[in-house]
Parts: sequence; structure tokens; C-alpha cells
Amino acid sequence: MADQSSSSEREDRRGPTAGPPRWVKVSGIIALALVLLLLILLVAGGNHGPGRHQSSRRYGGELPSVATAAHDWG
Amino acid sequence: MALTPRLRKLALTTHVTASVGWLGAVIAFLALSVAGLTSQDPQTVQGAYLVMELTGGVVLVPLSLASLATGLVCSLGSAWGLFRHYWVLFKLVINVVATIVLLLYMQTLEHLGDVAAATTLSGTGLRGLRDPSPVLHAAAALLLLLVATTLAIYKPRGLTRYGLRTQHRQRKLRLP
Repeated sequence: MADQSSSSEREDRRGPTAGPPRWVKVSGIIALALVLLLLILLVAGGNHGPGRHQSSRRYGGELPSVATAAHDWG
Repeated sequence: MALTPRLRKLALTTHVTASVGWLGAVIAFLALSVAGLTSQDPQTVQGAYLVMELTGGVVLVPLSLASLATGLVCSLGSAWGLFRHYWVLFKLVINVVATIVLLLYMQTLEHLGDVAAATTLSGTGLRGLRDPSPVLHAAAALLLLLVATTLAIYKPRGLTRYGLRTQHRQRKLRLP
């Protein structure tokens, strides 16, 4: 974030109906593709997310044995 | 809700410090996670996971929250606004997503820290500790923060629909 300069005053004098600039469209497509890829990996990978370690001592459970942990993480 | 120039400078300085500090801390975290995954020295692996847990809670989380809070102050306290320019909006989304993922991931880091503290320095213990997820999360965070930094420096043009409407209203008000 930077100080507002007069550049924003001059910025985009297109009408209200003009679409977003190209960099926004390209970034949006890339971001959407990455999110989809991540979702596919999460669905395919299965055991992921904050819930996978609910057995941690701090959350009231027992610490898994090293052998179990080795099996979990490959 | 415009800030005075002096307050704006102070907010901007705090925001840049917190954001760049967060970026640097993520780089250090990435180095620790790579060491934890690849090192052959049991003490290094154990120490890496213990320090990662500490770094996450004491450095990464406070810096991410500070970056988010000061970013909100900077944008809302200036004519940039929060939803007027695409680059500001993108930075906000990146910051919010990265902070939420970090807060959720702290649970995993605490678990890894617990395992590291309880693990004996044997070959079997090391196999149990090695986890690629900190490397993946740190690399993704680094990428996101580099994008946010680039957006902050270059400030690419582009007004949102809301920004265009606001600009149109302001021009109308200025006309005699």
C-alpha cells in the first residue's frame, strides 16, 4: 500500500460498463486453475486439513506413536 | 475516513515493515522445513520442527495479522479505498487467504512440534517426523506474498465496478 498519488485520479477513464483489464482476467484464470488443482489434490489425497491432527495432545487426544506417524506421512 | 498525512505515513511504514517481515519469516520457515525434510542429522531434524512451531506462533501469526490490520488502515484511510482498485482487492484476498490458512495450519505445526519433542533421536523417529507439508505450505505462502509485494510496488491499473461508480460520483460532485 502506498500513498495515494494523482495517478489514481487519471486512472481508467473508461465507462462504468467497461470490463476488467487484461491482467485481472489472466490473474483470475490462473487463480481459479490453481484453486481447482488444489481442490482436486485435496479430494484425491484424502487425509489433509486441520482436522487430521485432532489427536494431538493439545486438543485432548493422545500423541500418535512414531510408527503411526511414519505410516501417516509416508 | 481519510487519515492525516502524518498518520498515513505511520500506517504505511508499519504495513510495509509487517509485510516484508512476514515475507522474510516465511523464507526462514521454508529453510527450516527443507532442513527438517532432508537433513540426515537427527538433532537438526528435531530442532527444525520445534523451531518451526515456535516461529509459526510467535512470528508468522503476529506478522500476518499486523500486515492485514495495517493494510486495512492504509487502504481505508486513503483515497485508494479497499474495493476500488483491483490491485488492492487482490492484495486483500491474498492476505486474508494466507492468514486463514496459516491459522488453520498452526494446528499441524503444533502437532509436529509435539511429535518432535516426544521423538527419540533414532532413525525410526526421524522417519515419523519428516513431513513434506511444511515445505509445500511455506512455498505456496512465499509465492502469494511475492505476488502481493509485486502488486504493491507496480500498482497495476484497473478500477473495479465499485471504483468506477465512486469515481463517476465524485466527478459529478466536482462539477459546478
